[in-house]
Order: sequence, then structure tokens, then C-alpha cells
Amino acid sequence: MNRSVLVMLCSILSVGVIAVAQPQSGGRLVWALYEEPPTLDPIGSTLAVQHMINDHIFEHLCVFDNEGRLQPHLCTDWTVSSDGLVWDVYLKPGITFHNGKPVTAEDWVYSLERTRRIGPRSGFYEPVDRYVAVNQYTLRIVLKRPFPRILEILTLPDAYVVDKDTVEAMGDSFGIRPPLNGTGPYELAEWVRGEYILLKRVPTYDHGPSWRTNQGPAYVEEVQFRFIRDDNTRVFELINGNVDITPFIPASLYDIVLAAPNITFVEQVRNMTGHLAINAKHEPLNNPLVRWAIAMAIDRESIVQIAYRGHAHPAYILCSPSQLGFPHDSYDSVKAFYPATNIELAKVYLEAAGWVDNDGDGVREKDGKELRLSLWTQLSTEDRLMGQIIQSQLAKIGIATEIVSIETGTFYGALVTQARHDLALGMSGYPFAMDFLPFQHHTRSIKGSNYSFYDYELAPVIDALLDTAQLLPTEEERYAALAEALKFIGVASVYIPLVWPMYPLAWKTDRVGGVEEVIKHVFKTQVDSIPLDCLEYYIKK
Amino acid sequence: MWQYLLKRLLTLPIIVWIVVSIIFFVMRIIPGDPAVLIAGPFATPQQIEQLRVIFGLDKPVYLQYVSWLRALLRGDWGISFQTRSPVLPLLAERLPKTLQLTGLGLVISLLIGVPLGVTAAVKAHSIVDYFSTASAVFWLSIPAFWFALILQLLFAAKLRWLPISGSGAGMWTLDNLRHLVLPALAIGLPYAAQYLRFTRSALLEVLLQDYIKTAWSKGLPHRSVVYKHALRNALIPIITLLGLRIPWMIGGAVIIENIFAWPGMGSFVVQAIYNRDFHVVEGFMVILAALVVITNLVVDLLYVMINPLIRYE
Repeated sequence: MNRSVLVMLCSILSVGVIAVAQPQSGGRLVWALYEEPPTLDPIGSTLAVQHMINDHIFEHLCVFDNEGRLQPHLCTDWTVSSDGLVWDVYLKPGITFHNGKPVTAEDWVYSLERTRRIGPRSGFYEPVDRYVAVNQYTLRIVLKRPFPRILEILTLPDAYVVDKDTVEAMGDSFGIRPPLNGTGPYELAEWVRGEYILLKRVPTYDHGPSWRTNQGPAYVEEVQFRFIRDDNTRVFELINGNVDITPFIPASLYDIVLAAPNITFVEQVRNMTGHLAINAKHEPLNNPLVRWAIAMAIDRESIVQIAYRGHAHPAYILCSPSQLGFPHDSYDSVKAFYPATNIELAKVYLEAAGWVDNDGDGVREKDGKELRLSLWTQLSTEDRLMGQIIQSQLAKIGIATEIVSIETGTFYGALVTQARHDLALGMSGYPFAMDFLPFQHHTRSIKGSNYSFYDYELAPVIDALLDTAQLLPTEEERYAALAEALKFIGVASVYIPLVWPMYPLAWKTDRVGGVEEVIKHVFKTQVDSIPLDCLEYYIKK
Repeated sequence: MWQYLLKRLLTLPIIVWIVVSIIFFVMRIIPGDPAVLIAGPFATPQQIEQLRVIFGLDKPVYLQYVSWLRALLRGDWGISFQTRSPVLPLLAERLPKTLQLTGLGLVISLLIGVPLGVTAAVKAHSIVDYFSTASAVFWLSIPAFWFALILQLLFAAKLRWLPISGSGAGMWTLDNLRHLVLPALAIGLPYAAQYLRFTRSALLEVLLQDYIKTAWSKGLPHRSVVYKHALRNALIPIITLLGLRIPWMIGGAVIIENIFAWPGMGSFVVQAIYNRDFHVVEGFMVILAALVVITNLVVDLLYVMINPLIRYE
């Protein structure tokens, strides 16, 4: 798949009349989010909504620009030792926390050590040995082994700089109540639990990234994040003008939003892939012939049309076109390694594996045992429909499935720690394929985020390719190695790609400006991942 | 009487202890690991194990129970796994909004249900009675979430008379009350139907008693017979229902809070159940169990006030 196809995938469903207006200061922008973060402490959770709010308040050393290139943000430059183990990062002088205290290398050491030691993403920082403040404006990163992507990793949603004094003074309340004392364009003004978070503009903010049209201060005076869990309520509030923008609308409500006046609605491919996970720990799923047969029985188009009402794209590899690292140039060759839909060949594979329907009841048997599998899904409408569709598709090749639909907590507990599933429907992703793929496919993630329990056959090769990809010096080489890993992942067929879902964003055209500028970013409408997008929005008067 | 009251008050902590102990063990028996959920999708097995140690989940369940109970007796309700902050303030800042919503819902249900029930009983087998009874059946039949959505769609989204969601600024301010109307109606009206049915049947039974016939034959005014003699005696089953329904209303508020984005305890606790945030659920159950016990005690005391023949020894 090339980039032009990707652009086509990123379809704008409806564009109202976009008034051309000059950005102006003032006003309140109201976001509706579907859930409330438990805390705004950067190391508090991995929720996307938390990242979205925190990115208004805190800042990173580097950020990704509109084209997906890593750019210095709170630093000016960096140097790397010849052995690749020592990175000296030169901090931008004159950056202060919201209380006026200058940001120094000591603050970075405190923040990044805190993230590395007790943050929920500490696994990402495994290559780091220690952080050292060389002087006031030089941060040294000492690695255990060469890791060229270290500055990319430090753009993760918990690698912000925080003020040690504030964290210690606030104790358990840090992240729960003001002040948060970040360095970003906004500060936390009020948090009414269960209802909203209110941010106020920092009028002195002046160090926005050079590639942003506005480097600061932000145009919008106040940003309110309202937490509205019910989908209908969120849409009613948007249509009635009480909410200006929302990124979360289920496909079932698209028609209502499209029919409303003054609302622009855009949806683009999400950085996630819906998949069918196979527990390859035991028979019969430890046999690649059976796994390939399952993969070949699946018709993705019907899943897209029925479960997603057409608002998704069939996925043929385990990486989304919206992830950095998607093999745009070698897509077709990677795709060729994933079993394509072919019912007749699927039946042949099952017979070759010894599974035959002797009694004519439609279910294959081997050694007196029927080919019956459990299929675990979560409770969302899409998941349950997908479960039913896959159940009927597998029945066509003589595999009987029993659907187990349960809530998320039980689902992951059963999969990760107890391996109770045969098949499971999941949805996972992250903006960077380079980080995401090892978490889903590397054997060291088994009993963590890899619930295929696949640690034989091709697993050592996949591990080696994923590890190698991390170490290669240039992005080109890294992505090429990743593409090779994706091929072997396809052959292993323990995760079968199903759909690339869409990420909708709707906003009131007569109220909000700057959104078009924001979605120019490589992450498109996925506003919970776009760095410092808050600088671009403005309220039309 | 005072001895009885004291005895009931002393049983309060025992009942709360039994309820929360059951919840404690149930939460730990059901599948789902808080460490897996909190660690998120990119967790390594080591991180998950590390979280188990931090939360004390690596210890045997009976040891977790003992240390949790000890802390509870000291007034320490534990730490939320999600927010890593104490549970008590998290619940305390949401409790007033839940009590406000269910309180007004209760008032609405009583103000509508009891007078309509009285009217239906007094004018039994009339058009008024048939209409009231049919309305009650309608309100009891429709699902709460559907009724809430209809109210929201009609009065907020379409007519724009009232806000769609949220709780407005402050407590008991005009803005707050405007936000409160629809969710309180959504909670109160289905319960009003129950009170209507109960009041009607209880009052009908009393109105057939000999002492009521005597009151009529003495020529007492209608209002005096119905409200002073009959309704007072019919109140016992209504108050019993009230005692049973208050905890139900708090539990049922979850759906309404969700639909109207009302910042009460309901949606917070549901999320805590999904996330296996044990201490938040246990803390909520302490509050709910205490409310049930206190409500039942108040109901028992109301019996005495209504019927002087009732004595607690």
C-alpha cells in the first residue's frame, strides 16, 4: 500500500462550510471525552485521555513534527558517543515551570528516573542505565547497550519534565489537584471530579515547536474537558452547541452527526489493528496448519460491513497505516506472507493436519475429539458482532466455536494470566510500530501483552528481527527490519489481522478554528497523540 | 425504646463488617487482575508482578484481608489502585451529588406517588383510578435508561428547556437545580409509580375497616377521614417500601448518572469494578451498607411515630 492509498483511506466523510477566520485570542474550548483520567500525574496511567490533557500542561525533550520527523523541543541538540552508549542532550535555556522556576538538567533526571522506575511504561526504558545532570543545561543519558531510538522513546506520554518540589509537596495529591506546575501552554485550574477538568492558558508561554503556526501563547483562554460517558449524550451536547469538539463517536451515531448543521466530521484510519489472537500453547492450535486454516477462513469485508457498518478497513497485516513504521513501500510483499482468504485451501490444511468430518455433523474430528474452540470477546457491539461473524466463517470449514463475551477486566485476566482462551478478539496499537510490535509479538511479552503464548517455531526469528530493528542506526534500516519481522509474524499466524478501525473527530465549524491545521500532523485525527495541538485551536467570535 | 435504639446502633458496624467482608472476598474471587488492567497494554510480566507487590496483591488473600480490616478500623480506607490516592476523599467528593440526585428523586416519587395513590384509592374504580393505575403500569414497564433518554431528547436536545448533561455550578444553586431536574425525574417517576400502587392498595384495605366506617357515620369531614384516620394507618407498608427502595435508588442512580454525566459515585464505582479497583468498591460498599442499616433503623422508628401501639423493647 503506498502513501496515496493511505491518503484515500483517510476519507473525509462530510465537510461543512469552513469559514475562513483569523486566529484570535480568548474564549473557552469545550472538549467532550468519553472517560475521565484517574489522575494527571504523568506516570499515573496509560489512558489516551490522560495523555491528551497532559500534553497541554507538560512537555517533552523532543516531539514529532507534521511529517513524523523527530524534532528537538525542550532541548536544542544532542551528541552521541562513538560507542552509542552516552547521549548528551543540551537543554534549551530559559524554559521555566509555570511557577517561574527554571527547568534544569536535575529536573529532567528526577522526572525521567521517576518514569523509568515506577511508571506504567517502565519496560520501554529498559535500555537506560541512568540519567545524569552534567551541568545545569546538559542531560546525559547513559545506556546499557546501544539504543538509537532513545530520544523517540522519550516522547512517550509519561516522559515529561515535572517539578520535583511540586511532586514532593503535593504527595498523594500530585496529579489529582492543582498545581501541576508543568512547562506547557496550559495549567490546571480546576478539576470537578466526574464532571470536568478546566485548564487556563499560560500567557507567558513562548516556546512552541517551530513547525507549529503558533509558537505561543495558545489562542484559547480556557480549555474545558467534559467527561460524558454516554455516546448519545455526547452527540446531543455537540449538536446543541454545548460541546465544541469530540473525538469519540460510535459508528451507530454517525448519521445523526452528519445531518446536523455546522458540524465537520472527519474520520481517518486509527493506529490500531483489530485482530484474532490464537492461543498457540496447546493442541490443536500449536499446529501451524490449523492456524493457517483459521486465517484463511476469515472474510474481512463482511466484518467491516456488518460489525463496523463500513466505518473500518479490512486489515491484511498486523500494522496500521497510521502507525509510524508501517511498510508503505513494501506493503504488498509483506501482505503476501499473511494467509489470504481461501476456504477450499483452509479445508485442505485441516485435512492435512488430520482433522476430518467423519460423522457428517459439520464439525471435524481427530482421534475421537471434535474441533471445538472457545472464542473470547469483550462486550462492545462491534466485538460481539465480529465474534458471531467469525463463528459462522469458521463453521464453514468445520470448526465449531463457543463465544465467551465478558467485560474487559475478566477478559484480560483470563487471557494474560490464565491463558483460558483458544481464540480471542482484541484491538491494540500505538503510534509507533517500532514499540508496539515487540510488546505484542516478542516472547518476553508472554504473560504480559503477548497472549499468543507462541514461543517456538518462528518465534526466535521474530524476536531476533524485532530486537535487531531497535538497534539499527537509521530509521530506514529500522523500518526495513520491522517489515521483515512483520512477514514472519504473518507466517506464524498467531495474531490474525482483521480490521483497521476509524478514528472520528467532529467539531462545531462555526465555533472552532485551527482543527484543519492540527490534523495536518502525521497522526491525523488522533488528537490524543498529536503533540501541542492545543496551540492551534481558536474560538471564532 | 432507647435500649432498642442503642442495640440497633451497635449492630450497625457488625452488619457493615459482614457486608464488606463478603464484598472483599467476592472481589478477589472473580476473574480479573487489577495489576494487569492498571499496567496497561504495554506491560511486561515483570511490571505486572511489580504492581502486584506494590498493591499487596502478592500476599495470600487472608493476609490482605487482615491488613485491610486493620487499616479500616484506623479510619484508613485504603488507596485507589487507579489514582494511587486515598479512597475516602475520592468517594466523599462524589457522595453529595449522588445523595442530592437520589434525594430529590425520592421527594419527587413521594410527592407524585402518594397523593395519586390516595386519589386512586378514594375514587376506586373510577376513571381517575383506572388512569392512575394504567399510568403506574406504564412507568413500571419502561426501562429507566430509555425513559432518561426520552426526557433528555425531548426537554433538553429538542426543546432546549433544560441542560442535556452535567451538574452545573455548585450545590443547590439555580444552575445546579436546572441540571438536576431531568435526572431527578428520570429516577423519581418510576418509583412514584411504585408508591402509587402501594398507597392505593394499602389505603383501599384500610378504607374498608370498621373504624373508618364509624368515622364516616360520625359525619367527620372527608379530608379528616382520609388523611388523619385512613392514610396514617396505611403508611406502614409505604414506609417499609421507602426503606427498601432508598438503597435501590442509590444503586439505580448509576445508569442515570451515566446518561446525564452526573458526577456522582455511581459511574465512578462502576468504573472501579471494571478496573478491579478493590478498595474503591469496598469503600462504596461500606457507605451503602451503612445507609441501608441507618435507613432501616429510621423506618423502624417511624413505625412507632405513626402507630403508638408499636413498642420496641
